[in-house]
Amino acid sequence: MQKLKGDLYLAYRALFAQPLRKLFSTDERSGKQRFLDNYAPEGLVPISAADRQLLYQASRCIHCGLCEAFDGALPVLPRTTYDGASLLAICYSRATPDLPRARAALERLSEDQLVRSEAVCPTRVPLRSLLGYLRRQLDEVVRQQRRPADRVPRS
Amino acid sequence: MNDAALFDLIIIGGGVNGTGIARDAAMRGLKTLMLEKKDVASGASGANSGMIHGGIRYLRYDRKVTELSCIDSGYIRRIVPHLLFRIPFIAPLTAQDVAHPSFRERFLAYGTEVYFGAYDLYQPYKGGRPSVHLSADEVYDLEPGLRRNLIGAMTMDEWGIDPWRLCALNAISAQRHGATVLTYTQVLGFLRGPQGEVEGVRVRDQRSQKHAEFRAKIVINVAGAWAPKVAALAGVSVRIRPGKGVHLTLDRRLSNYGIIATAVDGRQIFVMPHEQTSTIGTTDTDFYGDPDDLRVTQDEVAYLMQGIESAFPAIREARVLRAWAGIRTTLYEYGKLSDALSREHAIYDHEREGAKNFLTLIGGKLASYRIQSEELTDLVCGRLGVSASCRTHLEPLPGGEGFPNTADLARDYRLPESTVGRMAYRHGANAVKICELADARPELRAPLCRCEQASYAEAVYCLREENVRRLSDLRRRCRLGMGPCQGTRCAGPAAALFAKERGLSSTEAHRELLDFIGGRYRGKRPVLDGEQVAEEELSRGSYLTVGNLDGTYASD
Amino acid sequence: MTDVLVIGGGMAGAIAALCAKSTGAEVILARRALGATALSSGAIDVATDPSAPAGALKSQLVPPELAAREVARTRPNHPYAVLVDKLDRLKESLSFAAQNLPELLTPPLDRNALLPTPLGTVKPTGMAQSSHLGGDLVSLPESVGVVQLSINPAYDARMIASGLEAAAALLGRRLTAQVVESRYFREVEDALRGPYELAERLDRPGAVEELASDLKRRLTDSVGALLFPPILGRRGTSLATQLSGLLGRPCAEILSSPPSVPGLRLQEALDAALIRAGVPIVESEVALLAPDSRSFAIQGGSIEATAVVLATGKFIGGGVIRHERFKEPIFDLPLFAGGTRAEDQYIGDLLADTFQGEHQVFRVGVRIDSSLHPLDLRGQPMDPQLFAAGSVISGYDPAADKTGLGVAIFTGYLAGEAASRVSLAGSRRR
Repeated sequence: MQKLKGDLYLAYRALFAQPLRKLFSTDERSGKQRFLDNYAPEGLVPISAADRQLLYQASRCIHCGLCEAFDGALPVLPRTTYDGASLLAICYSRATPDLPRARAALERLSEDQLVRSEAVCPTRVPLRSLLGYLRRQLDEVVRQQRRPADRVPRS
Repeated sequence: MNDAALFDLIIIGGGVNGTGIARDAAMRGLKTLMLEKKDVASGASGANSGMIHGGIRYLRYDRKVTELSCIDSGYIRRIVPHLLFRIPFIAPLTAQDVAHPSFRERFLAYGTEVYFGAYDLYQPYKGGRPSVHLSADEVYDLEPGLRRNLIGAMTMDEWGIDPWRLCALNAISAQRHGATVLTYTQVLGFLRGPQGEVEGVRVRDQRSQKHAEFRAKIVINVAGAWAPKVAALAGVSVRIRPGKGVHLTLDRRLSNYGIIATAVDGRQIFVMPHEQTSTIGTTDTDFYGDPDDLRVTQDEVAYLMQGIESAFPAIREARVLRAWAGIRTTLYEYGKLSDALSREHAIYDHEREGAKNFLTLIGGKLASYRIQSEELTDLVCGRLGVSASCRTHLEPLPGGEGFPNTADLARDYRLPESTVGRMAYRHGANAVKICELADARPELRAPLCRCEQASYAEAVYCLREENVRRLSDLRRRCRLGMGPCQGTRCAGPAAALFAKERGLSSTEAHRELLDFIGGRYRGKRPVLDGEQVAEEELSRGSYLTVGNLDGTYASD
Repeated sequence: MTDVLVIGGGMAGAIAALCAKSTGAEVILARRALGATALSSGAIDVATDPSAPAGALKSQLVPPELAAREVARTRPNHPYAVLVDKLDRLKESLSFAAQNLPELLTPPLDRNALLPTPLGTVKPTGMAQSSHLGGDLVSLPESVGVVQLSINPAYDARMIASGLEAAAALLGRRLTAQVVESRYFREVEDALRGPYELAERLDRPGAVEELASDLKRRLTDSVGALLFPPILGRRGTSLATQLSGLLGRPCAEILSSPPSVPGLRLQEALDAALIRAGVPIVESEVALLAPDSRSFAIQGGSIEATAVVLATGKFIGGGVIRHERFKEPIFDLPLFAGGTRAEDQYIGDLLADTFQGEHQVFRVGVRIDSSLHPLDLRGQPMDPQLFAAGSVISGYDPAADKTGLGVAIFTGYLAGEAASRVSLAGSRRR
């Protein structure tokens, strides 16, 4: 009996409620735009196929620390800001919503500071390309956070 | 341990039900004792998908359950906002021939849209966003890794949560309200009165091997997969149908969006972002073995990977860190397919079986813990004549009072902001206390677990404030060793820190270290592949080649 | 065109190249990146007695060569067993390494030393960097100080001291170890610094003197020797000797886990030895240009070698790759774990139930004959001018067997010598 009631309810929604809802919707945004408006401001941004390949390569890091011995940025950046190149692979690139917290390090790093680190890495993590990706993704996250409030649905 | 104390309530089990009830009961003024034979959240509460969800699957046959779940998810979001993170889900709508979808495929696609649309009615309770219908091209834009067999997708979102911290915080809150929480304390038997009524428990502390007795007016059994064993100690029978669920953890978020896939047997599985990892889950098989000896099999891993691959072909390029299993305590119903069993809970009063004052709570899901706990605490309070009402949905859990400004904290206390960020995720408003620790003792600024950004200060805070009795407990409090390197770099230093804080000898520290490493290994073993093998080689280099642990201690 | 191409620049490859060069061949060494050698602890594991029970420290005080013979006897697939007829040259190979790294390495020891580790254990080893030898539990004085950098908790002196006392008791000797604080490092940032950075700071002019004078303030006369975290200088051979002079008592480094300053010192000393010997180090991947050939694509060009030594390491070094199946990436050589073919095995079958069990997966590698030729599936040498050295060889687990760098030196030495001989014979025939 309960099953029948449940299915009837869904039938009602399928035949009436859902079509009416769509009919009277004033939302002109595309599906993709609505999705991004829902989630991108919280750092939940998409990733391109090419960047995801970078992530698979970043996953090669075994946290051995050799890069730290040749890290051109460690002697130069404030020590409480930057803790070494391996963090790019083993920490920063693992979740984009956390990227804004790595901003101080990412903004100051330059690719040529990572040349030697990348050369000695036993599992060949592409540190420089990874830095490029992190910067781009950080920019995107920040851009999405700053979007006009009226486009973000209240919830 | 004060043997003569009389408690109002003894709770057997430190999972989400046990800690949730402890908190509720303590807040209502009941003198409460919670006993857990291992660490909090060591059973199903620590081996689940880690979601506070609104029970969308109940929409079809029991909308009331969905509504209540969504309302309660909203409450959980209110009391511990820092611990929740949003997980958007993409439910692909597939077709064999995307240019000419069959009627059935279009029916299913529309059906999904209707279903998600019905769920939208309840999303506002928990701050969820409205569902969205995407065209095939739009889906590929947002998630290029999907197999090209789509005619569109529906999206919605749920909340993810760290279930270990949820349990830990409930336990701490219970203590703050006067409850006694004893981990690594196993119930060996019951104290009985002249008419067989349950009057208390006999326990053994697993670490000190000391025995004790505790008396209470009511004893409840929320020991999950061990509930039948506990019940048997009281001479009563509790039947559950244990369901084994296996999950895999990937080293990072491959996507910010969860993807729902269909496994070879038609079951729905998923790969979803979870904190800084991805989780693949789950299986659901009847389990007849020992819940203390759960292993993940090659078949279970292959089943999950095959299922995800059907929707996300490149999954095999991902780095799998570990595989883990838990036992769901579903209610016993013979003849139903495991997945169709009710996830709902049941409360058994064993007075009928001659054990008065002894109750068992079985079943339920993580997301409904608070409401289940409220129901049971209401029952207990009714029995005891206590009229206080539940406030667990109103008062924040420890740290849930507000979210700190991580940039300010990082600058003021001279810590990396990424460290403060993860600290704030785990501890919310209490992050400032950890920063103050680092300020008072500058060496505590050092990173202990770099993968998970847990500083020495955070580890010390957890050790001092969060019921840590074994080194392995720290992994549930601050994710020590739970990142890509699985403790290769941090387990040794963590054992030394643990020893220093607790005044342990090097031998005792090594025992804790081997226990910790052993736990990491059990998870890695079924899935070791790719660079994880190189990681294991490095790890063995550290602990065996250099550390010579195997040359110092025989394996037992 | 070259006589000998060595692929892989860790201990095995470097020793092979140095040996081949010393016997008159033209040698080029190609390496793609750093590997396990650069992460090593400072100890050179030759062999421990495999029959000694855990914790039986006295039983480990054996001559490494004897222990190696025991390993050969009890592990039939181990390189020491395959090369048992040449084991009398083990010490010769170790001496060769020590001679090429004169200030860094001590000569091979007559009996295993017991060196302190960061975990607070001791570890038997047959050879070590000179900065570590002073920590040998057998010869330490009765009162030892373990230095704790007060600002940097990464090395825990309390644990090391406590462990050292426990080990001394097992050994049946008296020893008290106390923590001695060093406040030389005082900046907030020093709490966050890793071992390479701290070591570099100690290389600065005046640093080691300041370190010593700070320690003197807290040292009592009774402390007979001092153990330091393995950060005593980033370059060269460590500041241990200098500190001993300044503090008037033996100073030694404890061994290091990764990230390891002693490991890098070792790698850099090997590189320096190669350059001194006139062996070019090419930092490049190599790829076979045609199967069954010895022509390789390298650094944008190509190279042809008369003889090749494959010393590419195991999983860390990339000599063996595992991605759902095992593969040797340069020659696609058949891989073995113990005596059985490995490529398609389910990994769970190659792993024990528990961490401390016997794991076949870490024995996976290329099977060799007693001339260090990799073997094909029929057990025949693939190529009389191809040799293998180091952890790419199957049958041993450097972590479990405690023979890692010793096997690297031994097999590198023999492979280099054989490669040189075969290439020179070939060139004489031309």
